Amino acid sequence: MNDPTQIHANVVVAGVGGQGVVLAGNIIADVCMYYGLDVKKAEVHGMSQRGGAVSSQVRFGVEVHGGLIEKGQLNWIVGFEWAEALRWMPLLSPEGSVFVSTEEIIPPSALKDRVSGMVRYPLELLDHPRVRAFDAPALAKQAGNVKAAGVVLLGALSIDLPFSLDVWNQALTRWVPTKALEINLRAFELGRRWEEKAPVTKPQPVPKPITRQVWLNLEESWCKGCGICVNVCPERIWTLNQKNVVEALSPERCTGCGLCEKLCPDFAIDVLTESTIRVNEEGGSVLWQPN
Amino acid sequence: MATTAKIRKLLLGNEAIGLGALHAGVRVATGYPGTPSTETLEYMAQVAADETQVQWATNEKVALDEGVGAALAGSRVLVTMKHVGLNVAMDAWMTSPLVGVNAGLVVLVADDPGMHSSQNEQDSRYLGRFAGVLIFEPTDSQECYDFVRAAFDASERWDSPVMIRTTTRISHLRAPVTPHDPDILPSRPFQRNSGKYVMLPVNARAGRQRLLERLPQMTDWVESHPFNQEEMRSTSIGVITSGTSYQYVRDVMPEASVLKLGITNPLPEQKIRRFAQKVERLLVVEESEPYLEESVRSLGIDAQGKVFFPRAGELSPELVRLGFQQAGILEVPTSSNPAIWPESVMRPPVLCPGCPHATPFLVLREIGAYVNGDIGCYTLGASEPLSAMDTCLSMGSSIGMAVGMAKAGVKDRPIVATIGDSTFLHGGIPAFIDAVWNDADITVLILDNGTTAMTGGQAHAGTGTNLRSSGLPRVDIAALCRTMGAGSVVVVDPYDVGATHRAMLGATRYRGVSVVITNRPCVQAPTKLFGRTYGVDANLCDGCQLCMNIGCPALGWDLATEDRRIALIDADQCTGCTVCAQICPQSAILPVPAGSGSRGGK
Ligand SMILES: Cc1ncc(C[n+]2csc(CCOP(=O)(O)OP(=O)(O)O)c2C)c(N)n1
Ligand code: SF4
Ligand code: SF4
Repeated sequence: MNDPTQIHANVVVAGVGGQGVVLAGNIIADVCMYYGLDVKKAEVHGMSQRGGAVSSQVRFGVEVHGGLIEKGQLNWIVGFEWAEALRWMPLLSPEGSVFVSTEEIIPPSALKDRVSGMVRYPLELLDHPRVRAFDAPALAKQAGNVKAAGVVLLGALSIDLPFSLDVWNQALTRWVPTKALEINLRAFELGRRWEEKAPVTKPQPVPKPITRQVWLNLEESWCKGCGICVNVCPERIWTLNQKNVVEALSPERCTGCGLCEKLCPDFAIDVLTESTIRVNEEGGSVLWQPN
Repeated sequence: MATTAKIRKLLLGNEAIGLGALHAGVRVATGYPGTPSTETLEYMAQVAADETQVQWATNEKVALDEGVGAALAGSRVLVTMKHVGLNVAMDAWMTSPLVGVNAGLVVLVADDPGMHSSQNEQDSRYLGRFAGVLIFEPTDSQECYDFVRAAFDASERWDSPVMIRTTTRISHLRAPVTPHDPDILPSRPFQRNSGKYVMLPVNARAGRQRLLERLPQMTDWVESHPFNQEEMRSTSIGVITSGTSYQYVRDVMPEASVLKLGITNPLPEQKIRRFAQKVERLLVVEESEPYLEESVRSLGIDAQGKVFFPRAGELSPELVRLGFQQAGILEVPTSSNPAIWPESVMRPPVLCPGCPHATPFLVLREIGAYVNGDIGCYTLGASEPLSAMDTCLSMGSSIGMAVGMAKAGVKDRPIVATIGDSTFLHGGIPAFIDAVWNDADITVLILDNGTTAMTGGQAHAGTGTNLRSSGLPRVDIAALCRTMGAGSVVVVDPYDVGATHRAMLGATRYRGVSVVITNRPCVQAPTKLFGRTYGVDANLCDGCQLCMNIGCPALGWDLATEDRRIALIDADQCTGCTVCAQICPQSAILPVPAGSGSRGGK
């Protein structure tokens, strides 16, 4: 592994659209080219760049064929975002290791369960000898711009690889826009010393599900079946029944946003939460209440 | 030439094709954007000499027509498109081999197996064979460069367009390329020849005859072509393969003999027969359809392929290994205990913070219309939480489908077609005229964000720019709709939720073809836009989560609270579109006072 002209390895840079994943991969590939290595790099372009998962797979060695890394043959993951690094961990070789930013970008689709308010995102950082997680954006900020967080991680990776600092700096100079170069060179240097420089990351408290009390009251005789609530409800809990009167299909999904109440032209719906008013049992049929 | 030869460059397959085309003396390059083909013209626009014409066309058919015209006029031409783009260009495509080319005409068709960014995963090789043209399939960036140059020579030699067929993993593979000196070309001025160039039946019959005569000659030529390469290693297994599959086979089974097909139409039958005789067992490894496999079998040769290698989706080294294992060629490893890692999250593409497409879908959902969608960023209006799209077929289909729905007698809800500006100009106009002509009661919502956003922000006929020029005439979409006969045309600001709602309500109540056009630019392209950051006042927010219905990625929850999830805005992401602030029932979303918001840490 120590002769830079004979090394054979596979690296993934993983992140979210817009984080500079493609550029980081190019810098690695450029360094490899300097040592006369063959390089193949698979990039993600297109739809995923709209906030989806983006990666650069970089394969280098004396002779490499395809651009895709096979399961069990991934040597390093450079994770610009926590969950994106996790996505690639099943491909790691038995000795493979990970440099990852503790930054978490929670996708909107992970915030779907509005009733419990829980997130579908692996918030807990993994305690594993081969996973080296640190606050790369903090170091990037020290260097002058959070956006250089990816280059901080490249700096950390460079310690594991047999390529010289000069060659890395030349590659950075070629790929980074001139006006951001100084900050990026600094970020790279801080990345190389992340173990002494990075702030210690505290484990985050794991959130608990929220308990919320919602009561839905419907005055059936006032409903004329206009269907406005059916269309506006974010959780789609209302439907029009055969009598052309609304009916709650899945009231347990009600988050109490009150939109149907506000838009019902006939004041037929009451959405009551603890924080609004006391329950008015009189006259309204209580469709659902927790427990 | 702005590029320097003889230096190893790190290029995408698409870029290598562009550079190869320039070094082959291309003077006109055109196409319509589409993943995974887009970067070719973008790269050419950056590096080509000033006099080279590199421009986007309104659609793939127009691009191909321009290509044929330029080729007949004596310029070497490159035309680029994604696989489904070839369907749009199909009419011209099928007849162009009968007309011929004069100067070389090469068409890049980039397939997308696995549908990373596409509405289907058709295998375009069938369409190349259908038209009777040569198909070149490179396996990496260097070959992309070399093959495109050879393709131009071949096009002129055979007086026919040539297809370069790539797939996502070739187009988007970045690898070293060593360029050569640019070609010096003789001039080939336009020579009038209506007997060959005017496709009257009598001339077309002759053209068809020429095609049928040249096919066997092309086959002979292909037999000895060095792009079809026999790599003999162990004779126990032989693999016939092409494109990216070749690379996976080399990675997974380095000892296998390989017949690597760089030209996949017409096929070198004799070479295939000879290869088959040299090996004990023959497999065909290819992505998507069993195109090569069927051809090999039709020669009476026993070969296996799709029983082991999947037809749906793209191949990967894992799948190729699995296929060889299932074929009993590679051993199945005795299971070692694999490490267990925690599962990651789904991260589907989403509309950007401040995307002008969000409000129209919020409104459509409220109105409860039947929404025929189309292809672009706004197709994301179909996904949670907006979920306001009922159909989406292919580029430009929305308006025709809406007309169909109306004619089928649907009356219980308004019928709406939503279509992006680029898509409208690409394929929406004929359907729009049809809607007016046949008096369909529909509303057409044109989401004009001033760019072709989904593919990375390319110019179109409404932007007044193109790859290498600005200050061009621009199509006025509202005026165009009026001219085509729409009875009601309203332009609205999609950042104004109330106005958008009123405009859509008014339009859907109009009898006949009504049009609503939104007029806010995309926040990503051509320029990144952001205004004042918004924030949530934790004292006012009651956690109703109504704002979450926009699906804005800048909006999240405060996870530290126990009884409710107060909304949180990520100041680094918020573009200040104000949409969430407008719909918040508590008026809890307010502009962050100047100086206290963070923006990219500067
Ligand atoms: C026939 C065809 N050509 C090209 C594409 C690639 N493509 C997908 S979306 C899109 C652009 C849509 O632009 P626009 O309609 O302006 O919507 P926006 O993305 O800007 O919202 C293109 C070119 C395709 N899917 N099908
Ligand atoms: S790129 Fe533009 S059109 Fe596409 S989602 Fe982002 S803001 Fe919207
Ligand atoms: S103002 Fe609201 S909806 Fe608009 S970008 Fe900011 S957080 Fe998103």
